[in-house]
Amino acid sequence: MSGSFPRAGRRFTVGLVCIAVVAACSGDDDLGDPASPEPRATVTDDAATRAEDEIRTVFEQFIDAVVEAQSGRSDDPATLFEGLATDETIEFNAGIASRYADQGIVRVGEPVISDVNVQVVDRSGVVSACMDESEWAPQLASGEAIPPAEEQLTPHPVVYEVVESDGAWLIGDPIEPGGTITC
Amino acid sequence: MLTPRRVSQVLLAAAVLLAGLLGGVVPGQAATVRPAAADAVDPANDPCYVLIQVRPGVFEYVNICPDPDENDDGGDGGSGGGGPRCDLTEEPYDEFCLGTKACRADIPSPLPEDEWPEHTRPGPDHIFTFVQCRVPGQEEPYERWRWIEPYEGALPGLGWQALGRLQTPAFTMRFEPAGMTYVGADTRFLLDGLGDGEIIGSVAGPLQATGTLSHVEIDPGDGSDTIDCDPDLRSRACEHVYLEMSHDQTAEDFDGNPGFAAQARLVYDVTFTMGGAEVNLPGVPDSLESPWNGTVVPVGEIQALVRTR
Repeated sequence: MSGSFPRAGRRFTVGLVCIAVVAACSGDDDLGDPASPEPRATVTDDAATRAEDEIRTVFEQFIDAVVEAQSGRSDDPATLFEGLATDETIEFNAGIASRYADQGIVRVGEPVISDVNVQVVDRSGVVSACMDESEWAPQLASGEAIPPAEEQLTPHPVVYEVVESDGAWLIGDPIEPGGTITC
Repeated sequence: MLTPRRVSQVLLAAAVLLAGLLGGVVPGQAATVRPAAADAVDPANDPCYVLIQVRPGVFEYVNICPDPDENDDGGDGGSGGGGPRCDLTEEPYDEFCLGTKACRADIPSPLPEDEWPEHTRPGPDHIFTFVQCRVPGQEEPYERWRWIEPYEGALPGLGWQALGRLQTPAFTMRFEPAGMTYVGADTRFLLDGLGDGEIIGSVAGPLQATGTLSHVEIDPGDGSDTIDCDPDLRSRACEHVYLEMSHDQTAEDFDGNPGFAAQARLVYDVTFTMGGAEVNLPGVPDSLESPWNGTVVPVGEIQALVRTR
C-alpha cells in the first residue's frame, strides 16, 4: 500500500513527459516545412508579431502611467496617458487620480504584472495580464498607511480592449475577464 | 496572606477585567466615524477607506466617511431638520445636499450591487453610487463614490432598476386537443411553469418590485386578434376557434405538420414597496410583460358524411 504513491508519481511523470513530447512534435508540425515558405503568411505573421509587441509596450507604459497618476506626483495626470489610451480611458484614470488627490490618498510602490497575453484581430484586440497589487500600497499623503484591503493582496486578472488609432495602439475599456484567466 | 492560590485568583480577575475592557473598546472603534482631521486617527483601524472594483479588474480606494460639514444630516440628502443647507438652484447640482454641497448622483448606480462595500452600508435604504457636487467657493467639483440615501426625486430611477430585476418565469405552451385541432372546434391553450403567479425582484436601494400575474395574452397565429385570458389556465384555459386549415402554413410542429404559430406572453401588475409600504412612482410602468413563447398548432378539417333517410 505504502509503495503505491511513488509508483503513481512515476506514472504521472512519465505521462507528463509523453505529453510534452507530443506537444513538442505537434509544435514542430505547426511551423510547417521550412523548405517551402509562403511569403504572404510570413508577412502577415510579421505584422501580427509587430502589433503584439507594440501592444505589449503600450500596455507596459499604460500601467506605468497608472502608477504615476496615483502616486500623487503628477499635477496633470491626464497627460501621462496621452498616446497610450483612448479618451474615455484617459478620463477615467485621470478621475481616479483626481479623487485620490482630493481625498489625500496616494499609492506607493507598484503592481507586479505577469502573464501578459495579447490577441489581435485586424485593428482591435485584447491584452490580458495578471496584476498583483500587494506591493502597491495605499497611504495618506501625510505618510500614514491605509490598511490594504484584503482583495488587494491576491493577484487578479486584468483585461483591456486595445484599438488602433492613426497607426498607434491605444488601451481602451477594461473588460470582464469572465473566468477564463486565472492568476 | 498571599498564598499561591490567592495570587492566581488575583491574576485571573485582572485578566478577566482587561479582557472585558478590550472587548468593550474594540467594537466601539469599529463603529467610529473618522474625525475631521486625518492625523487624529489610527489608520490601521480606520473604517473609512474601502477598496472597490470600479471597472472590471480596476480597483479604487475610497474614503466613504461623510465630510465634517455633513454631520447634521449624515449625508442623507438634506432630510435633516431646518431644510436644505445648500444652494440647489444650479444644474446639474440640483438634486440633494450633502452638508453645504449641492449634489447630483448617478441613479441607478453604475456599480453592480455585488461590488458595493456592503459591510459599511449605513442603512438598508442607502445605495452606493457616484456623486458629484458643487462646493461653495470652490471651482473644482467634488466627485466621490459614496453611500447616499436616495432623495425623493431619485425613486423613479430606482423604480426602473427594481422593475428590471423582476424575472418572468420560463413557461411552455401547449394546446388541446393535443397534436392537432380542427376547424370549428374549441382549441384550448394551456401554459405550464407559471408558478404561483407572483414574482418578487431583488431590492434596488430602498425599493422592491413585486409582480402579480394579471392575465395571459394569446396570439392564435391565424391573424385573428390576441386573446386576453384568465391567468389560472389550469381550470379555465383560453379558447379559440380556428376557422381555416393550416396546411399552407410555413411553421411546422415536431412531426412536420404545418400549423399556425401560436404564442403567449404573461402580463403582470407591478407594485413597488419601500420599507413595506406601497409607493407610487410616476413615469415608471406598473405592468410587465414576459417574452412571447409559443407552439405550432396544426389545424385540420373533419369531413362529415351526411346521410338522407
